[in-house]
Amino acid sequence: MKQKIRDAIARSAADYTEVRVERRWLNRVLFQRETLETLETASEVGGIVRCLKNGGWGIAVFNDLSQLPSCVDEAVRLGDVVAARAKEPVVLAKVPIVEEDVRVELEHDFRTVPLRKKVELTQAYNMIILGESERIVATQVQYLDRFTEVTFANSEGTYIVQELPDITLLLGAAASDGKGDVQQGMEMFGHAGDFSLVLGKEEHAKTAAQRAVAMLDAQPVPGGQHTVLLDPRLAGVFIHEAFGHFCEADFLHKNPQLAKIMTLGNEFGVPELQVIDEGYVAGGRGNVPYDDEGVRRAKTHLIKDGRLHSLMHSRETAAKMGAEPTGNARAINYEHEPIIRMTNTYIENGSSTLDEMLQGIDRGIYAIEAYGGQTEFEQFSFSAAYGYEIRNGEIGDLVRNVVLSGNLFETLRSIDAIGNDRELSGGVGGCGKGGQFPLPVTAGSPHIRIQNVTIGGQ
Amino acid sequence: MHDVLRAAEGVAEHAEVFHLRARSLPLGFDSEGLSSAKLRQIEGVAVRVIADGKLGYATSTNLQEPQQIADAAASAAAYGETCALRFAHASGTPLDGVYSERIETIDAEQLASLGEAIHKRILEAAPDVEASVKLETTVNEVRLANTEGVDVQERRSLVSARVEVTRTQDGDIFVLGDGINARAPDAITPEAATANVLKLLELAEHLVPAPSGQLPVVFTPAGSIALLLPLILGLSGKSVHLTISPLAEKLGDTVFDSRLSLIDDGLEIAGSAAGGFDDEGVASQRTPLVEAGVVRNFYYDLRTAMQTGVQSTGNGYKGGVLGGGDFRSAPGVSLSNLIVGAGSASQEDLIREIQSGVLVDTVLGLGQGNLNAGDFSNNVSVAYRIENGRITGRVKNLMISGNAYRLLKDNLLGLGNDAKWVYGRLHVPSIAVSDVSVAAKS
Repeated sequence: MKQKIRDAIARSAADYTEVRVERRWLNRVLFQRETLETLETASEVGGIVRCLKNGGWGIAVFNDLSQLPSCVDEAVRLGDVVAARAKEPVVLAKVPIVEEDVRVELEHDFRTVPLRKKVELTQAYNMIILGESERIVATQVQYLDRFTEVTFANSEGTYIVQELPDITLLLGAAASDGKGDVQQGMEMFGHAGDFSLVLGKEEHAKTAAQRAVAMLDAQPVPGGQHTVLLDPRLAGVFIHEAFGHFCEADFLHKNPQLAKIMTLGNEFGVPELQVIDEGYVAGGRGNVPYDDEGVRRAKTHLIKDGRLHSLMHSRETAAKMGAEPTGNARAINYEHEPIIRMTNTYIENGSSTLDEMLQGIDRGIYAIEAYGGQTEFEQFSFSAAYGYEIRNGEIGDLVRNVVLSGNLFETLRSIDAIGNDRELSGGVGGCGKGGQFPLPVTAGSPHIRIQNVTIGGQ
Repeated sequence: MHDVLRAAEGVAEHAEVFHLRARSLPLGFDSEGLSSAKLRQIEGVAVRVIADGKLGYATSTNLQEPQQIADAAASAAAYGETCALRFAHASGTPLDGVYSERIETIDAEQLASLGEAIHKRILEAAPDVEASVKLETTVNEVRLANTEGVDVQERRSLVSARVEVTRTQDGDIFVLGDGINARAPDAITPEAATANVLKLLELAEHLVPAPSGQLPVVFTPAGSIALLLPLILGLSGKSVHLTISPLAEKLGDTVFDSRLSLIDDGLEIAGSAAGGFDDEGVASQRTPLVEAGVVRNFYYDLRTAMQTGVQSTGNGYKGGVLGGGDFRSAPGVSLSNLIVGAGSASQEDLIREIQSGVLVDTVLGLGQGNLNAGDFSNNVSVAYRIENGRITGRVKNLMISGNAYRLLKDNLLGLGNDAKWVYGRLHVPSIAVSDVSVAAKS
């Protein structure tokens, strides 16, 4: 294999050539209500060639490895077509040449667990949710494991083989009051690790079901401006979605207006605020020893001491902007070229305890986990999974329909307390950008307190 | 592929093999000119087996190992769902017009010239925007064989263009997009690819205050997805089987305004889902779903048809509710092409009747709200103010909500004569309805 790839690269007439070949094994089990809705097993091999010819990218994707040499020729030809019509030739920042074989060792390797065991485990969680209450009307319980071996080689001499495990569990419940109101409860787990992640989650299955039921009786949150305490998961989603994407250099390149605001050194928050994207966090779903351009993972301070410190770069944007590549060029699979993506993104611990943060709130909302949301440039809106009222520093009743919205930059400046209880979570889905979804990432934060957040009632 | 079927026959009572060979050539232009060109050649198989009465599924790209693929499906079946599913026993024949050799032979150079012409046309008409253009040719060779004797194959080709423009001024960012698909290469011209976007861009020159209240709304063909998505779900055999569709007991009943008709048409070659057979090998057909406001049929794949005790309507597709999957996902029930009956009024006529309202072209957050009940609730990203029968400018920060079933029964003002293809597989006119809840955010 190594020789085949090296030979194919050697025949390339391009200025730069890279080949990425992936082998992937996947198992998915999904129960909905009483039914085993999906039981899927897949194995795939495929690759991508990317060539830079006179500053234009030509790309070819294939499954049949015997086509590798002809795909190199094809990519070179396409590079020529692009170069003839590109305004500015692409230049790549220099990076070290690497030869490395990165294997993972999983203590309880999910590849050795029989499919039967995975089905039984998923079914057992599903039964717990179904049995928790008569008001449970639907379930969504999914087990997914994926093991990928990526081989990356380029014409500069880099040759890397790395293994990437990924395993997730979704415990979802929906409850109905029988009068048309349906509420959800969800617990999600994901890590780049072994089978132990999905074991012993019986209590979480119950929690998901109980929350769905409890939400039926929860009052809608009163709309208006509130002091809001975000839990680590929601704060993590907020920092990834509303802020992290702005730190992707390719995004800024296409949005000159925002690029002005995103000038390094600009003040975005209190001096205690640190935001980091890091290519390795124990168990993090965003862990990649090397990105899909063969660049070593890094720890990138996006915000340092309240000020914008660094962006995330590919080799292309790094060269264009005079920066260093940060190991953030990632592709969801061999069908796609790498684009700038986050890995494990988090707000670093501050100094406040949860109690201290609560004490400062006479009336407010404790918003927990995220069900989704949307951002449109500076404007964001997120739906918390659920929340609680806070009165006189005490956590009170469960509330629902907690939709937070606002302007990113105003909201960052309104963070007035940062907890010391950082948690990262991988969730079960992933991040989407440029038609590439889902890419495994993690996001996290300690609890954070924000003043004057607009909460939409209905 | 037949190797895989033979191997599967050895380990299961019933088996089905779906084989896809896809070749696509996407090119992308952004503000820097042509940014990339890519040749994508994908080949994979998906196998379904019924072994000991249980269903198993596996996919692979390794066609050299037929036994491995069959065994993977059989071992999945060992823990699978007990299932009375039977694979298709008769199939359709390849459909005329769904493949054009002229699309297959378009090369990157020709696509690049066309893309450049489209890009240029936008920038000439609107020098202040950033424009991105994506052009793609696709040739899919689908083969399907099963133990019931079905053995079919078909080549399908498509060329598509998608245009997106972004205008940034004074902290306001406006993004507008449109796409066209065609079965013949010459159907995509710079004029055809840009006409709609340029028209909508011109109307967006001025930003005006957004109205609030219960107001009439004209949905453009693209915007009407907000109204149609609940119906697409509600007419699905799966929703009917699970009795979560409000239409479940309404076959033969008048549920909508008598001007409304919906047809699922897998044989309409202008739609991107067209083919002689679906992804389960069942012959494609034309199924009237709603005729003159009366619910006539639901659409089914093999599994939901079996569960309900009816025949598949040829709506077993890989991919989600709107289909479009490759070989990887298992087939499920999905629309093919949805044809919404047009009216006689032009979009201008529909607008002229409205004193105060909104024209909606693009909504965000599709699927928010209780879709099963017909509720939709969307922020709009491309919408216009209608005052005294004409468009007076663009509005933003607006949320629309309502119930699609109620609006299309009691509040239909009219259907346009301007039906066009949106999302590749929906052929829809402008739809005007009254009494939509419109909320402007301050």
